[in-house]
Amino acid sequence: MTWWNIYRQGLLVGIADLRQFWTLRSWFFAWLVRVLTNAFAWVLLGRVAGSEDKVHYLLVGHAVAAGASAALWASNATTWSRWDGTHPLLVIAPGSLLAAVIGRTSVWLLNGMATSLMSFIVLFAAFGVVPQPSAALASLGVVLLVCTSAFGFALWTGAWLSNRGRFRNIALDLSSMILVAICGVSVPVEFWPRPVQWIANAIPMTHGLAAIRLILGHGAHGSIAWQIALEVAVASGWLLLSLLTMTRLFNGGRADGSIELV
Amino acid sequence: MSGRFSTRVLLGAARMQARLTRQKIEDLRPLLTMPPIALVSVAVLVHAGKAQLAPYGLVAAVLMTVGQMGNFVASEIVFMERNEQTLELVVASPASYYAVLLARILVLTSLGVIGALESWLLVRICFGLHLTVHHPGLALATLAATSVAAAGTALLTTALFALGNQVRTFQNAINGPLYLLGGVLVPTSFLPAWLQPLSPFVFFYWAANLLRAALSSAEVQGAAVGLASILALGAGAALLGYGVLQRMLTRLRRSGALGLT
Repeated sequence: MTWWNIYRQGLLVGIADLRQFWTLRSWFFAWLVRVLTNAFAWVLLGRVAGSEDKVHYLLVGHAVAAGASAALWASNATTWSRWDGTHPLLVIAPGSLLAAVIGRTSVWLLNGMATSLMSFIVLFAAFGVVPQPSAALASLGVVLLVCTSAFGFALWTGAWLSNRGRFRNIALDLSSMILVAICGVSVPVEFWPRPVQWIANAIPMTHGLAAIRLILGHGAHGSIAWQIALEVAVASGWLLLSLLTMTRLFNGGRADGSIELV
Repeated sequence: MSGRFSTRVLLGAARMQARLTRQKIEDLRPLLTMPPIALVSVAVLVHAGKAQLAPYGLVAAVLMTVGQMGNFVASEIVFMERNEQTLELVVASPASYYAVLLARILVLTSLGVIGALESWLLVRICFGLHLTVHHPGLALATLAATSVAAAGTALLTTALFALGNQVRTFQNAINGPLYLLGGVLVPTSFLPAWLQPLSPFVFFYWAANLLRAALSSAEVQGAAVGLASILALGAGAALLGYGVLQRMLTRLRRSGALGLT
């Protein structure tokens, strides 16, 4: 089987995972309502702070963060094959395990992209923000990049947590909270102390979100391109790191028998 | 009090829950992940030059911790018991199942109150803000009433989650709207006018207002009405939950499907 074929089979399992959570109707009326009510509360905090600029800042930040946080669910999905007891089978199969894992988990990347897209549409409509079509389209492209970046990060946390499964939900909540706190979603990155800024610059979303803010605010093309390039670098870095971590863990699991551990 | 609902049963169930929770870090998930909400919300307010509104962020973090303990942890009890095949044993025992359940749920929602201390410390350490509780009696009474109301609500949600297969779907859907309607982070006067009439039906609405009042130096008004509303809404939800559970258990007993998941 080729890498692509295995990926496709993995994705089918992922789609079945997603369907365990939502039907199309409950995706809209349960998942999206949850995401949007949460985002609404944060955007309205801008009104409490008494500034329409703050409202706009929080609106863009939380519309992007909604997708990135949803893509982080991939870290949980990485551990599910252990709970299902299929992980050792995947490890001993002659095909690529990475393709199977990425296939199964990437459905959460797609979910993140759809979530962010819907958040943008609903929040913009609700708060009467009308972006230029070209800016909206360009931002959408960067949103997809940000979700991919978060997905790469989630694969790494998932791999790292794969035999520490009981911490998976806590890690998911905390990583999502860190993204919202320090990556320029709610307050500018510069608000935080220097060491926190270093971390923010190395984790997903910070540069992509900065690029989206520049695009929507008609910033200089050079700055936009630079921020996008940085986000691509961050995304590639996390994807590479997650592949290396997974490979090391699988090999380690074969060597010491820990592949059966949950 | 009858033996089925005695203090011994309540204390025994509470002790069991405390021991179970000590073994299961997942039960403490809200205590670890909700207080940082204070960090983000207070950051927004401080950055906007509105540090005096920092109590809003603290109140949100506290109520969300208690809310998540009820909705994410306590609400799973019946579902987990069905999954682990222990439901038949508890239901068949001479003690009242509702006593066991209520005691266990109360332990969990009361633990949520620790979130208040965590959030306060986070705000103190990260922003150097010393948030004064001007009316400590009211704050404590509100936290106690909120834990009870969250427990009552969890009795209803644990019944609903056990009935449906899509536990996570319901779980994820409920809290967002309740927090928004309850004005947990943002006072309800900032909500669209057509949503505001719904807020008094959510116990978080009363709890958020009272906690914000407890953190303000102004004289508190309507504390008794607020506390009574929190408790009444909690009791209403608990009664509904009792009804749903009663029907579910009777049906499962009749069909012999109690142990089937």
